[in-house]
Parts: sequence; structure tokens; C-alpha cells
Amino acid sequence: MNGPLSAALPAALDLAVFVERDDAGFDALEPLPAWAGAALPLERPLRLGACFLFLDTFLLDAADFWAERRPGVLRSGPWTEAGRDGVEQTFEALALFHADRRVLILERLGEEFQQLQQSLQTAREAALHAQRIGLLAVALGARGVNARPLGTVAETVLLLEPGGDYRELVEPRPPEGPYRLADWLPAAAVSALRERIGTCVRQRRSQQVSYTLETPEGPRAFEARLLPFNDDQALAVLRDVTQRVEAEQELERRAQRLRRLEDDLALLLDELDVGAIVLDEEGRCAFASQAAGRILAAPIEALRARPWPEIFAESPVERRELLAWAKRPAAQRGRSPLLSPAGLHLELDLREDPRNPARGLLFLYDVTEVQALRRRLDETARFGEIVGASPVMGDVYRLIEDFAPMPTTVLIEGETGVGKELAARALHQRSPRHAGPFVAVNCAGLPESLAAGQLFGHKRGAFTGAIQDQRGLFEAANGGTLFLDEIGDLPPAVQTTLLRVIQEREILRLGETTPRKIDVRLLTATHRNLETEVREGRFRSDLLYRIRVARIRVPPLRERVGDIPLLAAKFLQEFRGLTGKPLRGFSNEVLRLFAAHSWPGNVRELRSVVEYGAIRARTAEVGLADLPPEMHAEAAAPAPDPSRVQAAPDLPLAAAGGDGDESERYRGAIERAGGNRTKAARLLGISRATFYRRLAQLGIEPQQD
Amino acid sequence: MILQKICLLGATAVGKTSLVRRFVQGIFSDRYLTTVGVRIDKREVEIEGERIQLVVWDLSGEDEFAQLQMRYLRGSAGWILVADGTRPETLDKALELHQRAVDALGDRPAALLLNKADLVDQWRFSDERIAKLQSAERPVLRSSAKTGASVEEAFASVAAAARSRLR
Repeated sequence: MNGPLSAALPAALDLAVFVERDDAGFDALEPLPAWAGAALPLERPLRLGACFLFLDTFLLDAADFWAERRPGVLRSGPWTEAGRDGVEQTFEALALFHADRRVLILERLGEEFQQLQQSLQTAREAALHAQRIGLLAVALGARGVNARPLGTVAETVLLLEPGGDYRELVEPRPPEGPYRLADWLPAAAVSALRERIGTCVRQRRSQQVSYTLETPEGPRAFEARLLPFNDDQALAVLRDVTQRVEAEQELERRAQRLRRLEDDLALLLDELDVGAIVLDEEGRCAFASQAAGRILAAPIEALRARPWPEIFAESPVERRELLAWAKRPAAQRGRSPLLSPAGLHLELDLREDPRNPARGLLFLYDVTEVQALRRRLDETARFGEIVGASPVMGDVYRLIEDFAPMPTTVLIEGETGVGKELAARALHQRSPRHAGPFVAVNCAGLPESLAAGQLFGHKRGAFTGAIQDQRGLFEAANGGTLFLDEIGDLPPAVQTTLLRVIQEREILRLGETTPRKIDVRLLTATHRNLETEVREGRFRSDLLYRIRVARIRVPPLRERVGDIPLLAAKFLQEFRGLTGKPLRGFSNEVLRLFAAHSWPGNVRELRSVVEYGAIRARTAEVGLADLPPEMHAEAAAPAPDPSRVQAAPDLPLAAAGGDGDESERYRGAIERAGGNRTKAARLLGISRATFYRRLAQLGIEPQQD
Repeated sequence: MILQKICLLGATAVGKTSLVRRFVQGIFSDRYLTTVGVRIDKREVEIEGERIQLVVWDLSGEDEFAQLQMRYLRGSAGWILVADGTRPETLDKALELHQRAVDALGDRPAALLLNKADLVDQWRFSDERIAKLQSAERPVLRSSAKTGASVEEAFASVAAAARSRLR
């Protein structure tokens, strides 16, 4: 420090010191603090009254003060004004008479002034608030100046002393008191307030104390907010916060109830194996329940923020299907079946969040057990490979059960495609011979010249082309069952031989002279009326009586319409595997059409229609547009006359045009694709493998790529 | 240039500082910031063709926390008394302060502003009472710092009356 200590000290204290000259100008005690240098003009002597207009007035008081040579200091009080530099600052001026000189000190007020201002502001706001609600004046007026306790007042402002005494700040009267907090406050509250007063004024920070007062109306909650007022006093704003506390307590009680409900709900969902996923407005997972994580075998954290179709489907096709499902109207949407990576059968249900329709709620049901039960139920709707739960099929099953254990020959009657061979197989499977062979022969396909040899075998050289010994189908079925389908088409000569075989239980190979014993159960089937055939001389009556010891009539599909959905679902399941498509079912229109159709080709026709639909389907649901053209025509036509349906001719499927139309479509696709098989398969909407398989079935020879 | 010191007197939170800010800076803020001590502002006006520098003393409102220092009023050319139309007790305070100022310094040109005219639906003065307050020496104006209503007129009337008084 270069100057004398006395001159440098004020600047170090951030004070500007001036001495009044006889000409009313002022000399500054250099060096001045930087703020003073900037705020004051450069010319000397200084005209302070012109620099700060506040000082123009204060210097009038100071002049009196100096003239009287009073001891002490005259303080101006704080004022706010902009100086030469235009910066508005708050100052206080002090006038004193020192060493025969009129000294003026300017102090720039800083943080302490702001704190004071803040305290005053708080106190005034509180007072204004109290005025507004009118409670302070009413309460104080009602109880008189010294009435107690203050706790009955909704809001009160006190000036607190460190020891716990206080003065009431009663508007419009000057502060009254002192009174003692201990006169009406609980000891714990007084103690807390005393402690906090010290902290408040020392640290210049507001403090808060809560307490409860017993009143004739019951306990009431209060809050005292302490604000620093000066070096040892604090302002206390006392508020009755009973209502707020009660509201908070009620809120907490409700929150607890809600939490309990949430817990219960989560527990319930978990117990029921129902996964819950909340979707945000963008369709991303905002919340996933524990059960959802468990069902999907994924950590909940991994589900959060993921777009929901990604959670449930891996391929883009499946995701698109899920989105299409979600876009359907809620009433038509239903649940979407899913297969989890862990092999669980799931069902997905989508609901709108009732609080915000832009958000969604997904419920995930683990129906694996239900599916298992369904399968078991399905099994009850099956008999071996026969599918059907209708009463007429129940009769068939009972007959099969009755005839199966017996060695009896059984004649199975029914239209083409009703599943006569399945009934025969069921008889075999349930018979004591089930471990033996089951040999099925379609007699209609046996040329008359070869039929006997095929059935009974032949010796080498028995006829031209018999180059070695050959055992027949009866021998092949030895120990098991021989099923002669379309026995009505068996040539008459063979019928005679067959009659003898049935009677003698032995066969004679062609060209041999020694019969061979056989142990074969004979099952037969026909779509013809054999009695008519007997009458018209095409079938031996004695053979008929031999083979018709027991009879089973398999009804046509039109007599068991209720079985159609079961059968269709079974076939669709088969084709799901073959086509590789995620086929889930049929539209309601399709099922209605199936129920109305006469099904001249019976189950075989239904299977073919379902296969066609499975190949054509673009979505997981087979729709009307996916069915063969003749079904479209039927859908567009008026409802069929039931009597006409019953009288429908017994046409094979090929004659009904099923395969014929499909062949045409395949040929057309190959032609449009220029012989490119991959392209043709794509045009038909099926896989290349399916395309090839079907080509082979239809007997179409594709061109090379 | 002639300087005129005009002081604003009134209870706490009647809007004195807001009136000054509207008059000097032309702005308004809803935020209440209490005045501690005095705030000095200046604005040059023209009164009857004469340029006058108005020095505006915005004095801290009087309430249970602070009392008006009468010495601040020394040298003032006129007073603007401010009351809050929504708080009738502030009119009593304004009138009381006016009386104390007159007692201490003698009469000065003054105007009584019933402020917060933008909240007139919350006012609690009767028209009869307002009519009784009117006098030639102390005009009563319904002002609003928010809208600026009667703000210029108030300062101009006091400045003009003070200038006339000096002539």
C-alpha cells in the first residue's frame, strides 16, 4: 500500500469519504472505491448534491447536523439512484463531524441490504395476505390485545426475540408486547423456535418449525416460518395449516390405498397369469407388469420403450398383421393368438386406456393350459383320425367301439369322401389285431384280370408275366386287417373266390393247388347301395350277407354341419405347417358359407377347399376371397334350398371342378411368369416348396427356369 | 433547467413504484417488489412550454414495519398521494400522510390517485366518498399503472401547479 493507512482504509472498506469545503463543494478522500469513481463526475471539487439528487435533500439535514456539531452519526437511510455511469445502486450516506471537518461517507449497500429487503418483502406480503383474508384484524379485535392463545389466529406475524419473547405486529397499531411464547406454545415448540431464531439470524436463512396446539375444537396444526429481520430478531409468520395438513394426510391415505390397489391388481394379474403392458401415445411400452415379463420370458426393462409389435412378432409380416389387427374396431378385434418363443400359447387383447384414448393397454393371457384342455376336448371330438363331435358321429363311434373287438366282418357304407377308410382304420386300431398289418385295397382300381392275383397271390408261371411266386394282399394282411374299399366294384369272378375265402379262412394262390390258412379280419366299404347291386345282378347276394354281418354308415358332411369348423380347423393346422404361413382361422363369412354349402365331395372336398384357401390367404385369416371360384359363386348366390342340398348328386371332387380350377390357376401362373417357377409361386402367394409339391399333386410338369 | 422534486406518498403496496416506472420508463410489471428507503428517478417534461426536470421520490410505503421519514419531503415541489382502490384502509393512510406532510412542511400542490383502476370491479370505494375527496387544490384521479390511465395527468397536474405556485 503506497498511501498512508488512514487514507487507504475507507477504500479498502468499500466506502467513499468526502470532506465538505467552505464553498459547499466536497473533496474526496482518495483513493475512492471503483464504484464511486464511476458514479461520480470527474471535476473537482465535487458537487455531491448535483451528482446524487437524494443527497441534495440529505445535505440540508447534514448541514443542520454539522452546524449543531452533534456527536454521533446522521444516517440518511437507504436510497436507490443511478449515478453518472447510469448504474442504479443503493447507497446510504453518513454525516459526521470529525476533527473540525464536515465529513460525508457514502456506503454502497450490498447483500445485507438485499436480505433486509427480502425480509421486509416477506413480512409485508404476509401482512397483506392477512389483511386480505381479514382474519388478523378480526381475530385480534375479537380477543383483545392481550388475549391468548395466538394459535387460534389463522395467520399471524410476530417479531421474535432470541429468548423467545415476541411482539405482535398488529396492523394498524405499532408492534405490541413483549409477550412470551412459553405462555401459550408447547414447550417443545418454544424450544425449537428459540433454537431456530439463532440459526435464522446468524445464517440469514429462513427456518421452519411445525407444532400442534390443542384448542377447544380439537388439535390444530401450525407452521412457523422464521425470516431474518436484523442481527438478533426474526420475523415469524405463523400459519394455521390444519386444513393443508389434513388434506395432505387424506392425500397420503388415498395414495396408500391406491398403492395397495395397484399392488393387489398386480398380484391379481400375476396370479391369473395376465400380463399387462401400458402403451404410450407412440405405441411403445411404457410399463410392463411382472407377469408380462414372465410370460414373455424377458426382463421388464428390456420391454420398456419398445414398439409393441416388436415385442410380440419377429418377422415384418407378423408385425404388419398385428398392426392390422390392432387397427380393427374394438368390437371386431377379439384376441390375437400368439406363440411365445418359449412355446407358450398366448392371447393378446388390446384396449384403449380409458383415461387417454391415445394410449393403449395390452393384456397378455397365457392360455397354454387352456390350449391343452382344448386339445383334450378336441381329442374327445376325434375318434382315431376321424374328426367330429356331432351326434351322428357319436353313433358311428359307438358302433366302431362295439365292432372293433370282434372278428366280425364289417361293411362300411357312405358317400364318397366321408372317411370310410378312417372308420376302417379306427376299427383296426381298436381291435386285438391292432399290432398286425392294416392293408387297404380299392377294389374299383383293380383290373378284372389282375384282381384275383392281387388279392390271393400267384405261383411262378401261373400266367404270362408271373415270373416269380407272389403272395397276395390277404397274405400281406395276415394277422391283421384287410380293408376292401369299393367292394361293390369287385369283378363277379373275384366275388366268388372272396366268398370262399371268407367261409374257409384259407386262400389259394393262382397256379397252386394247396390252400393256405389265413388269419385276416375283413372290413369292406362301398358308396353304392349293394342291395340294388344284388337286385340288378352285379353283386352276389351270398357275399353281401357274408360281409354285412355288421354295418356302419358314415354320414355325409351335410348331415353333420356342426363338425365343419372342427374339420376345417384341423385341415388348416395341417396346411399351416405346409405353407409356412401363420394361419389362425377363417373369417365369419367363410364359416357361414361352409355351413351352407352342400359338400357333395364331403370331407375330402372340404379339405381341398381349405387347402386352396390356405395357399391363397394373404393374412392370418382365410377370407371369402381366398376360396375357390365356385365357392365365390355360391357366396354371391341366394341361400341354398336345404331340400336341394340333401338331394345333391354324389359327385367326386374332381367332377365338382376343384382340382381342375386349381390346375388352371397354376398353369396360368406359370405362363404369366414366363415359365419361371419362383416367380409363379410368388404370383400365387405361396412358397416355392409348396408350389412344387402342389404341381406334383396336380400332375403338372413345369418348364425349367 | 428547472428541477422539481415530487414525492409519492402512500401505504405499502398501493403501486407507487409501479406508477413511477410507468411514468419514467413506460413499463409495468405485476411483480410486487417492496421499496426500502427511497428510490430516485428523473424525467424531463414540458409544462406550458417550459422544460422541467422532474425528480421523482418514490418513498417506501408506511406500515407496521416502516414509518415515513418526513425529512425526505424537504424541498419537494409537490406530492402525489396514492391509495389502492381495492384496499379502503390505504386511502385513510394516504390522507393521514398528506396531513402529516402539511403539518410538517406546509401545503404543497398534490394529487390523490386512486390506483389500480384496472381492478375497478374489486374497488371498495363508494362514488360518494370519491366525490367528497375532490377539491381544486387536490384533484382525485382514478389511475392505473398497468394501463397507464391518469399517470401522465397526475404528474403533469402537480408539476404545473407547483410551477404556477413559484411564479
